[in-house]
Amino acid sequence: MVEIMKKFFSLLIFLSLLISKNSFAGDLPKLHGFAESAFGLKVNDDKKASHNGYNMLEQRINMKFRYFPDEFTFLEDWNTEIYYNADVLFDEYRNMYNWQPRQIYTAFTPLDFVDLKIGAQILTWGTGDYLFLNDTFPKDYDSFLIGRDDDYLKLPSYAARATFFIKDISWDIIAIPFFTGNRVPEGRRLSFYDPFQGKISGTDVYRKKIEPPYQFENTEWASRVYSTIGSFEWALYYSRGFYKNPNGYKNEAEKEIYHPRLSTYGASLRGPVPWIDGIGNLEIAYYDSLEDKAGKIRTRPNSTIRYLVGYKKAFKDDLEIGLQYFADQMLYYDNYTENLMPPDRKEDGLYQLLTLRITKLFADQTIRASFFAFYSPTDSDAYLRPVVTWDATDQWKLTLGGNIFFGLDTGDWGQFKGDSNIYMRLRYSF
Amino acid sequence: MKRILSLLLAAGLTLFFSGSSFAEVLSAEQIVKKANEAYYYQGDNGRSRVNMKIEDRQGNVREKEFVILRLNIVKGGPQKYYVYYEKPNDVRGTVFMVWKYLDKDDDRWLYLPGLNLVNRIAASDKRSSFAGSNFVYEDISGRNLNYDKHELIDDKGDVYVIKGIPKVPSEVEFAYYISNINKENFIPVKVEYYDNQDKVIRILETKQIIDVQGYPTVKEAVASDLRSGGKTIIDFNDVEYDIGLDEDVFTERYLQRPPMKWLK
Repeated sequence: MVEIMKKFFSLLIFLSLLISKNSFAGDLPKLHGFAESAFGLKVNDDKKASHNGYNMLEQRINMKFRYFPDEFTFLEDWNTEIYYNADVLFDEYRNMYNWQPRQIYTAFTPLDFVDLKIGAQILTWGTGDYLFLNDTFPKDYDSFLIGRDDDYLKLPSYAARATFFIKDISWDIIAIPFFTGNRVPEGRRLSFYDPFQGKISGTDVYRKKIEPPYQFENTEWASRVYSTIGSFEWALYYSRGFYKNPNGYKNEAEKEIYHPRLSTYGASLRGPVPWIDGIGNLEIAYYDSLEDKAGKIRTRPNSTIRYLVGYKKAFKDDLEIGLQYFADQMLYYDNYTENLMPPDRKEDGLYQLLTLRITKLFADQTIRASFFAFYSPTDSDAYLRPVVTWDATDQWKLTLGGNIFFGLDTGDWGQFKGDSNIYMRLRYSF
Repeated sequence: MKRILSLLLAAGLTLFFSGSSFAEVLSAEQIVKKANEAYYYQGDNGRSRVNMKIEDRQGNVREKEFVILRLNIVKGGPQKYYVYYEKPNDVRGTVFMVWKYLDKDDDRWLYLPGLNLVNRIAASDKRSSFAGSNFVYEDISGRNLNYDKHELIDDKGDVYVIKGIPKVPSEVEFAYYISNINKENFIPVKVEYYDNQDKVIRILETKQIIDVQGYPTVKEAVASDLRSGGKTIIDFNDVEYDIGLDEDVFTERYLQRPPMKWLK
């Protein structure tokens, strides 16, 4: 139902744009976008998902136009922007096609110190590279794990955003009335460790996912205050809503999973590192699990604190290296362990993760080779993402890459061993 | 009225200074300083639509188009740049922002519209290619004058000939360079970069200079890499100076919300 309302909402904005556009003279904005064909071949197939041998086979047509109306002076004065960006995806893996809004919004500046943006929009903040602490906005981990373009890691939020600029301080307030959860492996495309069955499962997964219904009190809120001092950027964050992963159990016998309520509080700092150059970042976030304040309920997530330290540096000849350390610490670990019941798996109270990114450009920057690795000493598992992109011409781009997982069945990354793939994407941009 | 007054004042100052410069003989340092200002600091702020044609040895051509907004914080000193990409199509809407300093690494940001991501990027080697072209970063935003020793080696006809020798040779790909600087407007018309064997390895040429609001302005320039055989033609269009940009434009706000009135 919420899905339909979201699409209806997007369509409404889009139609109103078309109507407002057609009632005035002037040049239509140019249509841009791309057509892309993608194929992902499984290299360690556990044969648990709905198709053997591959986990991505799709054609995508993306169309976007960005329009800054100037029919009325106030529209121009408000720097009014109308943006349409959506895909038609022909997904041969799921044997279906559909229209998928990416960003369909209008943005304007009604007062010098206020920006507004309303509609389907991608929301991103925080300082991590593929790691998110204070960015609690929806993500599509299916896309990430099979090797779609990085852009598809983010799902649009159906939201209204206001940003206030007061002297050097900026302040974002975002209201998200329509809930969008993370897209996570569910067995049909990607097998994963199913705690209900205690093993890696695919099409045999049975779970009932319950999303927060559309109600006024379920509106999610997010806020950020940020500024720059010299070369350093600082920010404070707050959000109130739901865990985006369905990591709570409602009725275990019925295998009902849902999104428990969550508040987050955090801060970040980013800037040049003295003495050794390069860019460093620090970020911290407190995840307050509102439905399990004392950490005693085994079917709800424990409150945690997330930490991130990152560093990246550029070297000669278009080489860049980045490192990150991430930790997620349970706050009521004793309560958590005391309340476990068989066959619950006892997790570590401190989850640690290291990442490495190496990027190098070749051939007048037309070839980009990137290697990203996640390694967790806690879970003893790893996820490697090698990618080579070749801009064959200004229009044609070829991408070859892999998603390779190692480790124990129960590890965050290890559970996807049987989903490891190598993939190819060919894109024509217009 | 205030505007006219300041214009008159500026005109008066120009007369005063150009009047006095007839009498003095310029040193190499003075010439490169004037050239630096003429090439990179014209006006207090400005905009330009840049078309770039990158041609490799095989004759394959790639085109880029972007709008540059520039603000001088101090003439000859720190500057802010906002670069809004329009071509190629797959990077349309990407914004590259630089806060340039003379005494420390630049601050750089990259805005990716598909992720709505404001990313900080590590200041790279300033001799690396700008946007995959045969221009390097320093060609686009200027090279710190203190990095080189400058010698006036010739004073022929309408150009000064200056030799620049890097103080830290290991940081650059050349041994020295020879600039021909137009005596009248101080725009470098040709710069040749040499290797250790006194062989030319790279040439920058100013192909056309036009007058915009009284400022001599580079309209077309070419960078040729004699080792790779590649060359890049850069064409500056719709140049305007003193359009009223202030520091606000060069912040995260306008990465997410392109200031269309200056980008059109």
